[in-house]
Amino acid sequence: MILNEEVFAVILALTIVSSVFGIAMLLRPSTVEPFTAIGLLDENCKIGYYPKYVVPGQNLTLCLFVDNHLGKPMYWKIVYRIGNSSTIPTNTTPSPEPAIEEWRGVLPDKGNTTFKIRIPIAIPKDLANAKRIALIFELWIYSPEQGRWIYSGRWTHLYVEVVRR
Amino acid sequence: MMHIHAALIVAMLSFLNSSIEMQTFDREVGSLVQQLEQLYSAGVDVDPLVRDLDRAVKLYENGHRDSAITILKEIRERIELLKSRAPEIALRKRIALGIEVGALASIPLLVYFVLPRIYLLLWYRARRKWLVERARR
Repeated sequence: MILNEEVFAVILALTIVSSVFGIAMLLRPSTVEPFTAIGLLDENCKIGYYPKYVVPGQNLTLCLFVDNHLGKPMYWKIVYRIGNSSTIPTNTTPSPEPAIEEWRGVLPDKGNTTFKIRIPIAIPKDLANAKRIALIFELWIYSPEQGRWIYSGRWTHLYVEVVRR
Repeated sequence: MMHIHAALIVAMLSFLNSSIEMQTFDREVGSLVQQLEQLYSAGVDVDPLVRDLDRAVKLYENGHRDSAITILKEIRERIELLKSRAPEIALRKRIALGIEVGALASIPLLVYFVLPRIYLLLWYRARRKWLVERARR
């Protein structure tokens, strides 16, 4: 095999491109687009077998997933509420329904956590006769600068049918 | 009736008290998270501290408040220690990054200057035992 000029030029070009790509990877900011995520999983902490029916007063076992890609550590809390289609949160406003339970934690940058929860089906008075309710989970992030919790705009909800005895 | 009112007032006061305590705890954790953010942006590995902070939050939520407060105090002390070492750690990280970038940038130069020589060396070595015979014309 002869290392002629063309072959050598190709090898050199490949080396230059790889080198520039490697340097770019080293110098790029660690978080390009900051984001957070929240997920609701079934009682085995998997996507799939979510409950369809609930009985008021019962306790449900589910799993929650929280992910932090803000480029910094995050003090988070998840607020659990029960609402309906007109009181689920939006990207900018949390649900107006009262908070039933909260879970807090601290995550490092690029960290995530999955944990089991046991939630009561405590239906608020204004939904006492509702046939279909939404189990709402909102992600809030603590702002040390403002000294208060700020709604992240991320939430997840699960619609369930209410079975009354 | 008076007893019910008194019980209600006690319950409300207790709720208010725990709510204020929780707010104080949130402020405390928030302040530590803010300091961890600064250390993290300086290149310090704060993951072990974040894990401990998370443990303290979980303990507080489960009613083990004294243990949680003790852990928070420890974290605050460790943060102070890291703060004094942060400039040195940041400098070390920058030097390491400079060395990595330099090493990557030098690969094309090495290929340009060294590859033909290595190739020739190997080419000659592979033909070391060859005998050269002058062709007769």
